[in-house]
Amino acid sequence: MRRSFLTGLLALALVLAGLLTLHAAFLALALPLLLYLLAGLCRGGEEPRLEAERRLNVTHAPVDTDVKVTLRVRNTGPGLEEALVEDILPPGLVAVEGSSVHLVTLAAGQSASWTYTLRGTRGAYALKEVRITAREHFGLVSTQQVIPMADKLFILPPVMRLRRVVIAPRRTRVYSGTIPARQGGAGVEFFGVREYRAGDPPRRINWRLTARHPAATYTNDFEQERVADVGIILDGRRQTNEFDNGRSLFEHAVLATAALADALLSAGNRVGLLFFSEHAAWTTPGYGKVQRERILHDLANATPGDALAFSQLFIPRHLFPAHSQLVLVSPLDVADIEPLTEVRARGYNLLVVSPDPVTFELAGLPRREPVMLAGRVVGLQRQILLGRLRHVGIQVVNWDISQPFEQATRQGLECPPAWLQAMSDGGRRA
Amino acid sequence: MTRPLLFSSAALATGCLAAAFGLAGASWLVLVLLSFGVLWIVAISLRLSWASSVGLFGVYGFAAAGFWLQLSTPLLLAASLAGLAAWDLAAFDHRLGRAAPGDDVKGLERSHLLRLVGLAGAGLVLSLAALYLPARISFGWALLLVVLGMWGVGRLVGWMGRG
Repeated sequence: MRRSFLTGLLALALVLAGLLTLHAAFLALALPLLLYLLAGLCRGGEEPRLEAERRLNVTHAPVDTDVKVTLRVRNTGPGLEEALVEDILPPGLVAVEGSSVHLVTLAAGQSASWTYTLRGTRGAYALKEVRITAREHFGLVSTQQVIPMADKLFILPPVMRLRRVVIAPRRTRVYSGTIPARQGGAGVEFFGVREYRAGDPPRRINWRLTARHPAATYTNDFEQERVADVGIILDGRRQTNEFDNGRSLFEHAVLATAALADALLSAGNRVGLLFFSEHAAWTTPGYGKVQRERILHDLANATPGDALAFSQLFIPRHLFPAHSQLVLVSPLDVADIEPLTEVRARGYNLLVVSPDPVTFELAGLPRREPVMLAGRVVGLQRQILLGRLRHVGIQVVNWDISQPFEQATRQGLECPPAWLQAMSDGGRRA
Repeated sequence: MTRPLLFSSAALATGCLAAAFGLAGASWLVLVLLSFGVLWIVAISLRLSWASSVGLFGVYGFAAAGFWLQLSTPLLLAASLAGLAAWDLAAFDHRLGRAAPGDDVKGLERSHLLRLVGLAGAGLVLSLAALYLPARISFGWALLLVVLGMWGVGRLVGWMGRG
């Protein structure tokens, strides 16, 4: 109940009692209360008129990085006896040093400024308003001013450095890179032998073969290495990412996506991102550091949602032509086998990096015999699911998230299975 | 500085009430008042939001009863003013809880306490004037004042409630 109402009620009761009983003592009791009310009434009620300015030292920062915020307010209205200045922070951001709330006295024309340090979890945050609540000294009357602001802060996911991600798409781009292009030319790896053409450097002539077939001269050919189109698909479906007690695999999937995007862009590839959640949101493909920032920016915005089924996954051919590389980061569901097989059948090379939901869920459950048995059954089901995907030519890397991503996936990402190597060799070594 | 003064005011309010009733021989009421005071102070120290208002109503209720029974006027007036101060300081302490470590809390406390002391002094003078300055009014005037008082305080409460 409001303090002014309480005081008024008590004063009213005493005044009425005094007048009805003609007892001066009741009036004597009521007078300090009435005086208190009048003091509040006379001093309060004026709207505060403040100007505010907020400065952030960065607008994009990785997780666990300090963001310094400087807030400056100037009183352009009447003097304020007691002003509570609150820089309203959205959930997920906390002030780790200093405070975003201050209680001050601000005379007319006076300015004040504060600096505090923010930290937050991954996300895109809007710092929308500064709220000023002005009170007279007794706190009976309060008035408020909300100053709208439009600052945005992006807390980016952490990026783990992967040494190498081996992919072998059948289609590459014209620029030189690190992916074997199945075409002879300038390169490092031996590719084949062809007849000598004018202009071939003499040290590339295969003298042994030329001696055996004196009718012609032969030249060694090396395999060209080029960059490729890579589409990373992040599965943001709540049904596959979220579990009981609010536990979620999504942050791990985001971390894996950021690491993969960084490694693939560092190798010179053209990388795009599809975030598959309530809507399918594309980050159009691009190269280099700018694209890395764009992808991290979009990953900062990503939140799981009640999503579409994978059967509705649409890969635009103008962005990713057939035979280019797709990388799916998803905990996977049994129903995903069919749509993923279709993607593979359309000619895409598919690498699936799958944070393991079985070990993740088991880690949060009591280690009782029935739970362990159920865990084994579900684990076997998952092994069958992964086996079926491998059977249709999809490279699958299973990630037990109790281990760091780089360590757990090094084997799968740096040393691809023999069948993938055979595919990238085009059967030449067979 | 605010919290020690808050506890002192609450203790002074209940102590004065207990003394006023004790001087009149109502020893069981002294026990009731002392228990009320202890509970009030404990509730305030736990920062229970309703505690200060319950305390204010309690102190004014007992003070009104004391005036009706014609107990010691100075003690009852002191109790009511200390109760009002405790109620005000509890709310002020709550607001100070939102201040950041670098804020000028001492300056805020100083100016607040100065105003509170001034108000308590003015309130005391007015109360004493109401008690000791003779004024005789007829029944008609009293009725008119009742109606005007009801209207005026009602408007004031309504205005502050909306504000």
